[in-house]
Amino acid sequence: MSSILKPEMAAVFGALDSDAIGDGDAVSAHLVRSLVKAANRAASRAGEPLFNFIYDSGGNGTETPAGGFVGYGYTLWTRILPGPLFKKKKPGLTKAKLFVRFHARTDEQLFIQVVTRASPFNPIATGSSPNCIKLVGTNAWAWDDKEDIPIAYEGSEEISVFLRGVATTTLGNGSNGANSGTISSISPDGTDVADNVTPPNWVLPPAANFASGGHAYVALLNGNPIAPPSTIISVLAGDHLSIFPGLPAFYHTALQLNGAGAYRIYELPRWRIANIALYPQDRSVP
Amino acid sequence: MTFDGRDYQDYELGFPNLYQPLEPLVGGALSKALRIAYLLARKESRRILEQHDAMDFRNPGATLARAAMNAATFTRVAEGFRYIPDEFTHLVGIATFFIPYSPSVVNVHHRLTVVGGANDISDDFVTQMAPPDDLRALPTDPRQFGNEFSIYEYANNIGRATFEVELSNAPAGALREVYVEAYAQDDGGNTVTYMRQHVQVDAEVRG
Repeated sequence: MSSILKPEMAAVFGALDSDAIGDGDAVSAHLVRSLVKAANRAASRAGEPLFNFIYDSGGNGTETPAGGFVGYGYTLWTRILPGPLFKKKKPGLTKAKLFVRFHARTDEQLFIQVVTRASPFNPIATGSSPNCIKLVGTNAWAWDDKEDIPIAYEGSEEISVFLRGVATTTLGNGSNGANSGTISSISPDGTDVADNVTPPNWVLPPAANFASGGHAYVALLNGNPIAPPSTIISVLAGDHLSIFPGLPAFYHTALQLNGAGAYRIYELPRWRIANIALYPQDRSVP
Repeated sequence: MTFDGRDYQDYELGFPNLYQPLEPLVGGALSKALRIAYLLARKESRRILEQHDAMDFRNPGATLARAAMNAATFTRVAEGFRYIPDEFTHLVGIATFFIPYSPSVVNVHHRLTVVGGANDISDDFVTQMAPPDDLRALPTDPRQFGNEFSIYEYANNIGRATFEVELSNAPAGALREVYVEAYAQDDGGNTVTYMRQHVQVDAEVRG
């Protein structure tokens, strides 16, 4: 017999007939062992999904919206499914596997975080965190999955799903106006910035412009970005943007000391999800 | 040990010490198997219906137009024919929803109906949503614009409703039509628009 410290689990379900354990009859050790192994198996198999949502994946096969489940990968965690979702589950199962069928442009990075009672929201979660998966776009539909997401031992779970993107794609220097240049002045609260150095010729509303999707970001540069990016809220003039949050206070000083500061306009990753599912995993014997 | 409910929340696996050669009794092993069987039968609920809308976070205006709920009377928001397995005694509906654009107390009505043989069974549930403490609680952080459910709701105004029916007139072990209806009004009787709920219906065993 194996160690008494390690539960045994049947590989398949067996059946014991009604005479197996009769009143006053002898009972074999093998019979009792089979009984417990089968019970352990019943208690350990995963059962039904915690959720499995399927969305439109048709259209032109890209991440372009077509009635699908689409959005931008904002640089802060945002909830993408209603919730928290209340799900009954088999008690005793403590790990789950996330499946995602997604579309993003090449090398765009997204993080999806599954928040459960056993894995609270983690603002600094990355792909190496137990409840977080890093998705990298390939400009095609792709599957990805993450095992061993902690879920509660009990018979129910409350699940929230958050998504975050990394702004790495520079917006094209095309129809919206220049995507980089030099900031020449900013308002006291840092939310209005002007580029009078080289006219960027930003397109104004109501034409499609840098602000129309809410997905363009300004990042200040000193070689690399030196401040958190800010969303472009509106294009006020061909050389004037309104952004949020305002540029940090230190930047005012830097601008006064050093003159104009470089900036670059990024676009957030674009994502589309065709399927997102969370399945409990079989309980394993450690 | 009598079947008194104690120790029946124990979902640990059975260890080999229950049947090792020097164990004099089969009682430990037998009761362990029975406890697991009891828990499986009692606690496992089965989801029989679930509905949830895809959101277009790039165009919240279009999403609101497509996925918002605006009805003055009970209107179906989720429905289906599902086989309800034997032994299940109750259906439990759970809705998660978001209240937007009302400065008043809002009553969100949900009704779960199972179509039975002689009589349908249904249960109504009203979730009363408090008005926002402050209209400035409306999300104004433009970083949230277009990207989160919070744009559809006042702060902290995510609602959840549960409603249940006992499968008395529509016994389990049959294919049944199941549907959930909803509408929302403020305390002045005006229809309130809100984001469509995530709806799920679970079959459960009670008793």
